[in-house]
Amino acid sequence: MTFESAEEIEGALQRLGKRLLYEYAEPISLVVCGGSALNVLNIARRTTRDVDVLAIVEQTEKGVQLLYDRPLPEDFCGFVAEVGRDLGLLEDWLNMGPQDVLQVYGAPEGMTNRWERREYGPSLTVFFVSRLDQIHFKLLAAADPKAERRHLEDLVQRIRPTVGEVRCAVGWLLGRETSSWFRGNVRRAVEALGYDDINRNIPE
Amino acid sequence: MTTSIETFRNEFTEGVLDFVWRQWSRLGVAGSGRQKGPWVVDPEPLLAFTTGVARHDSRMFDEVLDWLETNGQWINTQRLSTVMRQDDVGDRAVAGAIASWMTERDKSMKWRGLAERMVSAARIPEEPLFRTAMGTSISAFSNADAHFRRYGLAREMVKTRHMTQSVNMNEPANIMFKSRAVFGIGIRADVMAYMMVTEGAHPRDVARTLGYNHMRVQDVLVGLANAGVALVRPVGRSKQYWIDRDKWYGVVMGEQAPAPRWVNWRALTRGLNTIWRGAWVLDEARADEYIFSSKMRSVMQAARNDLLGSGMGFAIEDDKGYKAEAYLPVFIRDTGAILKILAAG
Repeated sequence: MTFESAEEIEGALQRLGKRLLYEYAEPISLVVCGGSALNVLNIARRTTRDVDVLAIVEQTEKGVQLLYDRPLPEDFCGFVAEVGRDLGLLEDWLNMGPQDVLQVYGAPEGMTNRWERREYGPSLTVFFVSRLDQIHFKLLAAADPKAERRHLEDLVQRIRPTVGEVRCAVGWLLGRETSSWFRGNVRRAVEALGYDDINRNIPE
Repeated sequence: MTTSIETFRNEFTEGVLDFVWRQWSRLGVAGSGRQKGPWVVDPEPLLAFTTGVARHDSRMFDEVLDWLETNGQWINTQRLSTVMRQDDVGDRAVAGAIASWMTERDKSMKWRGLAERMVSAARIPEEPLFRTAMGTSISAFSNADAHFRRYGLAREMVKTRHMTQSVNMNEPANIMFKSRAVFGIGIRADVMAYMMVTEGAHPRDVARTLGYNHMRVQDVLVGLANAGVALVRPVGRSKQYWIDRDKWYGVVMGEQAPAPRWVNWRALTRGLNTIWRGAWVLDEARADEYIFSSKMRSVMQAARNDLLGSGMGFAIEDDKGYKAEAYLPVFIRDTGAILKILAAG
């Protein structure tokens, strides 16, 4: 029920791409973060249960648009489930679990320039978010007191961000009106990473 | 790819058509001589299935029409349409065209009724009735058959050879026909035939197996029990009906060959039909090994319970241990084994 390697994740995406093409499904582009992106981009290696989709991507003449308020199409979810059944994965192995992130916080500046585009046939394109943007999302997740420990573990044990990367992520997290409770949570996550210098600049 | 889609489809089609041919031969269709078989032939599921698969074999199709011309009196058209509707087996437009063609040969109202029930299934636009081995077809006929045209199916005028024989009522496999000859065409005859070759069952199971209304089957069984023909034994909180098989089989079929094995033809044809349709909708020009494997996994998952429940003794491996393309050789092996069992009867 889990992906053990980047090859398995890409194998699932390749088969999904084949399926979409065979079924004459509308081509779709997705932006992906989380454990699957960490593996595929060789940022970190760990097992993961699913492929986390941040948003559907629409490429127009005006440029790239992130449709984070749009759910995955129903027929697309059906094809995801069929590939999952073929590979012994969860039916929703590809899902929009972290969809709310972009709705609430917006995309980190420059994210769409940093991501890595991979095509799985003509019907499926995936943009894997970069290391820096992963640090943004992982720090947000780690700051949630109810979140699983794996987010902080990803940061501390696998990604090991630099001070500059953490500073950039903190800037994104606090670049809007925030509560003292939220800032306290961010501070605790940053402290766990050992960057007390950054914490001094986070207001109470 | 170890086996191409085309190879699999051709082998499966050939194996199934061969099996269907032999079943009709056992009922008197001219061709490969009278066949004896180990199991009961249930005419309505067989005819329903034939309306679909015989579109790939024009010779078989016309020999079945020939058989109907001689033996159509034994067909329960009400049950045929129920089986086709409930099981989604066969081709309703083809069944309608056959029924319409039969109205000129059999003046009973039953064919007229079936023809009317199937009008809504007529193909628009018209399409050729027969398909070649490659799935292509011929559609231009100078002497098109009007009955088939009414259902949107193009074919030349039907010309039967009048080579069919009457159903051999002494052949154990044809016990459903003999029972119908004795008890009249309807629930009672089929329930008796079922009871004569099985250990009996709960009325709901009998109804489900035969495709009749549960309450009407129950009424028949209660009537048989009241007459002392059927016996009742409690199984848990329900009642199971059974009869003295040796006694009644001997009465109806005479002291001869051992009783044939009951096969759940509805389940069998549903299962085969699921694989058949799945194989024929595959686009071999676009499907690679993964798509082939994935589609066949779905097909076998859908057909599995029916095939296992048919009573044919098929063995089907659980697909869960085989990821992605690794399932394909398992599927090919399982369907090969299914065809081997079908070839034995």
